[in-house]
Amino acid sequence: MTNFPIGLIALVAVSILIYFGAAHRVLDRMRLSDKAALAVIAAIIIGSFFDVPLTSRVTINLGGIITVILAIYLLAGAGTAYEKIRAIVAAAVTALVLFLAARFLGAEPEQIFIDPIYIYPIVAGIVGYLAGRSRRGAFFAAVIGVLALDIGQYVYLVTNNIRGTVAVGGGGAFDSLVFAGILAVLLAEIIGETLERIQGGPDTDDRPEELIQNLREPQPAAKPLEREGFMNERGGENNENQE
Amino acid sequence: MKIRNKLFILIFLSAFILTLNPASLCAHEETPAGQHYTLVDEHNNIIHQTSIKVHVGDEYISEDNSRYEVVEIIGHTARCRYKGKEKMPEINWEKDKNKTAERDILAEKAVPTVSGKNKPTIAVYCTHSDESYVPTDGTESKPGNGGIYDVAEAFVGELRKNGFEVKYSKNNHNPHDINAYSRSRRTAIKLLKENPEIIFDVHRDAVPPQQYQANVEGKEVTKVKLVVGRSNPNSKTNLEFAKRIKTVMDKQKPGLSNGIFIGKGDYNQDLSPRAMLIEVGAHTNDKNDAIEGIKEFANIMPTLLRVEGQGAPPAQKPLSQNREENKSAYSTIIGIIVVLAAAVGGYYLLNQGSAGKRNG
Repeated sequence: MTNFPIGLIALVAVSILIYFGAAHRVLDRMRLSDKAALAVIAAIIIGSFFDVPLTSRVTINLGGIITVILAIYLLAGAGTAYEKIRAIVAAAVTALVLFLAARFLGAEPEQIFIDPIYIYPIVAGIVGYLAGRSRRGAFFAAVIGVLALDIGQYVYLVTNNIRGTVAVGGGGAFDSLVFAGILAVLLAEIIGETLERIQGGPDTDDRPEELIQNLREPQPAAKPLEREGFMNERGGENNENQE
Repeated sequence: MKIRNKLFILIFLSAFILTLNPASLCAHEETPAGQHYTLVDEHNNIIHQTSIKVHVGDEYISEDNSRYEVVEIIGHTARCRYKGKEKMPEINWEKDKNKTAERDILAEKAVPTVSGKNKPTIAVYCTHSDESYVPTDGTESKPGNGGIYDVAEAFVGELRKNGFEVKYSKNNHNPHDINAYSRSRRTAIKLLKENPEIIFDVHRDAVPPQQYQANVEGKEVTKVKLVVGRSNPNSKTNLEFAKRIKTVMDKQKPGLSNGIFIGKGDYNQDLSPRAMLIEVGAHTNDKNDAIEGIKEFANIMPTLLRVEGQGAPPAQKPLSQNREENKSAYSTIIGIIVVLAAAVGGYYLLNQGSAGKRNG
């Protein structure tokens, strides 16, 4: 790569910067501070350079394993036990769908309409979103779903007695484990925002009044006369709700 | 979220999974014999055959640099439209004065030289670890230990003879399913840490033998096909590089190239603009011919990378080279930035939604 023409070096650099930029924004939105997100990204990048042989058949990459630990940490910090269960169920469903995809879909990327690398985050993003519209849920489902595929390969190699090692998270920051997690969160976010947009805003039925207030965009202070009009509008909406 | 909405999304997800490949609701091994795709032109002449599933929009640059685009698929026949002669990279050739045998080399002055510790590196791996050659291996698939490794090892040996540093991974990426590329991605990333000039993923095709059988310089060989995945952001740059490889092949080893196929897929080529997938023969060819074919392919690498033999005077690093590769790299960068801007803009607009208006 040292003899790459300048254009190629620029292309590689731009791709890497955009990828890490997106990764940072994603982590930033999942109960990590700006600095913590940056530290995690740095740890994943540095960790990418270290492969630790666990057994004769399993090697783990530090960058990949940091991502798994992060997924578990984020889950542990989830608000309620219900949310945790939902995230675990989402991971199990993702793993199941990915296993089924490997079993039933063609073996070559061109046989399916989208490259396999994008299937992990798509499945995990949708399942994670279904399991409680949660970014953390989507991230956990994607990371653990891909990890489950590695466990699947381990079982395949051992039961068939075929040579080979399983490199868990072996691609470090560019592994499908990390890539799937980041893309799943972005996807869950896009699905969530799109659905909310279609339905004309977040669903506020049975939600605490305080949450609804916080969801609203800040409104400029209204003059008394306009305020009266606003109350009338609300009255109209209330009538609709009663239908 | 309402149960109704969840149900809707669940149905959507199921439909999505089913539409991924409705035709192959069974475990996939290799493309069964006779089920390869045949590309034909407007006059029903066979242009090419491939085991790669062909889609409308896929393209093929034939041995004589004619470019075709798939416009219709009927069963296993892909009807193509002739798009004219492909403009291949302009390479200035001159006679190699250092060699006793007369041979053309690239005429660019600056030449990275093979000199002791500063050898250019080439990386090699095999995503489909089971791929084998029936006439020689007795089967088309040997899990974890396919005949493809013998071909890759011959490639590695010949590259080393040509003075290259070779990083070769014999990692097993089986089972041969859709996750194979995800597993080999790890191998590719590990190899890329060694800063290779090129990273090759060695495969074999699954078509009738005559598609690949050839005679180059009096030797029975199988041809080598280059595959570029168009579902990858680097595809334009990868294609420029593939065209450069083909140009050198055509000049130095006429008859060795089986063209360039530009199909759906990523093939881990997003990892490097110089990641190349090669198909060396088909499962119906003799493995020994495939070995001879890939050795001939290895012999064009010094010219491709403008490397001279041991003992040549050290040369300066080229200031500017590979104009086409550079050009496509810059246009790819602009493309990426435009897509990114559109995505960010779209997301911003999406977020302009009025929270709490619905029932609030």
